[in-house]
Amino acid sequence: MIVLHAVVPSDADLGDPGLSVHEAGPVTVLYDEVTRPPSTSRDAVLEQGRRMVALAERVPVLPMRYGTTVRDVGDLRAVVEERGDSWSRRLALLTGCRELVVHLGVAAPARRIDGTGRDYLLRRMDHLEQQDRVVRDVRALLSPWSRDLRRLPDQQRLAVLVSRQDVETTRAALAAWAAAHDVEVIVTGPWPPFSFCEEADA
Amino acid sequence: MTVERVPSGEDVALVDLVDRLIGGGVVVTGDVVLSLAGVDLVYLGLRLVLAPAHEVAPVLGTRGGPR
Repeated sequence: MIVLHAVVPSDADLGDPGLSVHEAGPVTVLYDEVTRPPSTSRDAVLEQGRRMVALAERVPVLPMRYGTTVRDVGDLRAVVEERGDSWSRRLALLTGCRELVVHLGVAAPARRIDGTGRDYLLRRMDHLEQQDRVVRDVRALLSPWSRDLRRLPDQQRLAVLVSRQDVETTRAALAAWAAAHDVEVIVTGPWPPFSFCEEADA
Repeated sequence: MTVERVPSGEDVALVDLVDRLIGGGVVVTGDVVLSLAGVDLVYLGLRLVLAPAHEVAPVLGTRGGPR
């Protein structure tokens, strides 16, 4: 069984990545041959995360979703043959970029007295509208630096793609904005561009 | 007695890292050991970490409807 870890440009200076490499045209895939599926423990996932963070400090990287496996080297070759050019284009777009994850802690509206289902729905609607307003404001705030910005599926975090040199400026802008508004903001990262790995159009 | 878990910035960062590793990244045809349900569980865990103890119930309610 082959565990896929990451895609990097074929000309990247990897040093000793501690993983097997499969070079194919413009990209290199880092992988591991194993006899058992990857562990689902938190520690195992974090170990992989740290490896990706360290790798992204040195070279452009498309991390694979954790736990992605293919059957054998033949399947790996087939995947790379099909997707390699697209991965290469995506890597070119992401070179020099990092992802920040922005948590937007919008306070829920105060609980009303009656506690009915209607009351719940009205409060829920108010909260969602307030969240949407905050997202719009933050999107506008970060527009000078964000190359891309996506709302994560939970709707309460944003993934923001910025140039490496704009990471601290972006953090400072968010901190200043949060201080002026009734919103708790937590920023984590910089991470590899986990949320921006979809393949580029041909 | 009320016991509140005050998350450190590192806690939040580590949960984000786990969440993005299993919810982001390149997806190829193959097998993935963690399902999308796992992603939801990770983020639910994060909300529990972030929320003061007295807000845990409403946080759960917003994901699953009124309790």
